[in-house]
Amino acid sequence: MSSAEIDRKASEWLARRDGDRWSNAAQADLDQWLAESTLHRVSYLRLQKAWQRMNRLSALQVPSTDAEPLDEERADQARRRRWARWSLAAGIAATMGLTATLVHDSDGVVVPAQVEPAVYATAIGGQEIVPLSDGTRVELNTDTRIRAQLAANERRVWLDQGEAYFEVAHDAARPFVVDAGARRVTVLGTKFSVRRDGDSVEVAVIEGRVRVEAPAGEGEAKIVTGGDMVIAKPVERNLLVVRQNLGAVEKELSWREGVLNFDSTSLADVVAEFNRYNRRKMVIADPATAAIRIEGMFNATDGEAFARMLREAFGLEVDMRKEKIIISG
Amino acid sequence: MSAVTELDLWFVDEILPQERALTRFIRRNWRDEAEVPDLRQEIYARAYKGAKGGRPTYARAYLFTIARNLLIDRTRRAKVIPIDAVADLSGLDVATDLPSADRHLQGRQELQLLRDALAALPPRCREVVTLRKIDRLPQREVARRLSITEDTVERQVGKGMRILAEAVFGHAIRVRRRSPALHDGKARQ
Repeated sequence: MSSAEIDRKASEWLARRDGDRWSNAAQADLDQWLAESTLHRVSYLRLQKAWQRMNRLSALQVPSTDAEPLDEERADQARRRRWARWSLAAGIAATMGLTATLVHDSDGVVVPAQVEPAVYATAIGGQEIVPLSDGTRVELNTDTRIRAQLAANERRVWLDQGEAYFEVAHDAARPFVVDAGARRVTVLGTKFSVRRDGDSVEVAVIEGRVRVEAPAGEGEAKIVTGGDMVIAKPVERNLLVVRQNLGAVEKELSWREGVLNFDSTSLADVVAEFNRYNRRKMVIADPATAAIRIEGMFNATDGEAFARMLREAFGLEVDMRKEKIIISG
Repeated sequence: MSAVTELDLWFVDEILPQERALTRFIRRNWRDEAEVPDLRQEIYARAYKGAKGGRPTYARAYLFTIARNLLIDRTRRAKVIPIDAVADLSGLDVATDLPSADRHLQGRQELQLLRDALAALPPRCREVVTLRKIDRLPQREVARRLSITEDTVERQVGKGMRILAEAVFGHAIRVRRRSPALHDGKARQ
C-alpha cells in the first residue's frame, strides 16, 4: 500500500472518531488496524496530531458564527486581554507563594527562599507544557497551579491545585520533591503524575520509583513503582496502593492528550471529571441517573458533546441552560 | 487509540516536528518526487520501531541517520547504480546543514500557521473544518447547518486532516525563532 492509501485510511478512522457515531465495535476495528503495521500507526499519529493542533483555532471564536470572519484585530485583542489577566494572576500567586515558602516549610524550619518560586497556571479547560531549567518537563492539566523552585541541593514543586504530570530529569544530588498539601512525593528521576483535590492526593507512576509520605513524616510512607497508583484521603493516615498494570495507569493519564477515558465509571464520577475541564457545569438531578455506568473516551473540554451523547445514546433528559447543564432520567 | 503509549508521545513530540527538514532532505537526495511521501512514511515507521527498546538521546540525529540509511539502501537496490548518488549520501553529514526544528512555535505564530493552513483548504472543506474547529460544533451539528449528510462531513474532515497535516508539519516558515541559547543577544536589531 502506498503512503497515500494509508493516510487516506487513517484519516477515515480519525474522521469517524471525530464524529458522533463512534462505537466500541469501531474502536476494536481501529485498534486492530493500528496493530497491523507500524506504517498505519505513524500515519494515524501524524494526522491525529495535525487535527488536534487545529483545536487552537477555537481561540479565534467570535460571536458571529459566519464562516468568514477570522477578524484579526478582535482575536488579537481578546488574546491580549486573556494574557493580561493571566500575568496579573500569576503575579499575585507569586507573591503569595513566597509567603507560603516562609511559613509552611515542611520540616517546620523557617528558611527564607533564595529565589522566588516561578508560578505556572492553567485556566479551566487549559493544558500547558512547562519545561523547567533542569530538563524536567511538567504537563499541567486543567485548572492547575504549581510553583517551582530549583535550588542547589533540592528541586521543589508545590502543587497548589489540580493535576500535573512530571518527567523528572535525573539528578541524584538534587532530589525532586512535589509538595501536594497533605502529601509529599520524593523522586530522583521518573515519570509520574500527581493530582490534588483539596487534601486528597493521587499519585500515578509510569516509570521509576517515588516515595509518598505526609510532609512532616508522620503516618505511613510508601514506595510506589511503575504501574502503581497511590490514593491518599485526607481523613486517613494510611495510603492505599492500587497495583495496576501500566496500561491502566497510562489510561489514567490520557488527559495529557485531551481525552477522558472511562471504564464502567458511574455517571456521577464522569460528570465530576468533566466539570474539572468545563466552565459550564453538569448537574445530575436524581440518584438513579447518577448510577448509570459509562464507558469510552471523550474530548475533555467538550462537555456539551458528552451531554448530547447522553441524550441521544441513553435517552436521558438533558437541559442545556446558559450557566449549567441539567441531566435527569 | 485505546491507550496512548509513551512511544506514541515521543514520536509526536520529537519526530514529527522534524518533518519539514526531513522532507527537504529526502527531496534533495531523491530523484523521483512522487516517491517522497512513501519514503517519509517508511522512515517514520523505522524510527518508531527502532525506538521501542529505548529512546535515542538526539532524536534529530537519529531520524536523519535512519533517513540516510534508507535512501542508501534504496539506491543500492535500484539496479541503476547512480554511483554519484551513493557517494553523496555516504558522505553526508547528517548533523550539520540542518536548521533546528521549528517545534516550539510561539502561540501567536502557531495560530497564524494554523489560520493559513485553514485558509488554504478547498472551500467546502474549509467550511466544515471552520465549524468543527473554530465553533467547536459536533459533526452532526455541522451537517445540520450546512444541510449535508454526516457522511459528507466525515469525508470533508478526513480530507481536511490530510491537507492540514502537510501544511502544519511542512509549513514554509515565516517564523523567526529566537533562541537565547543560540543568539545570545548578540545580533539583535
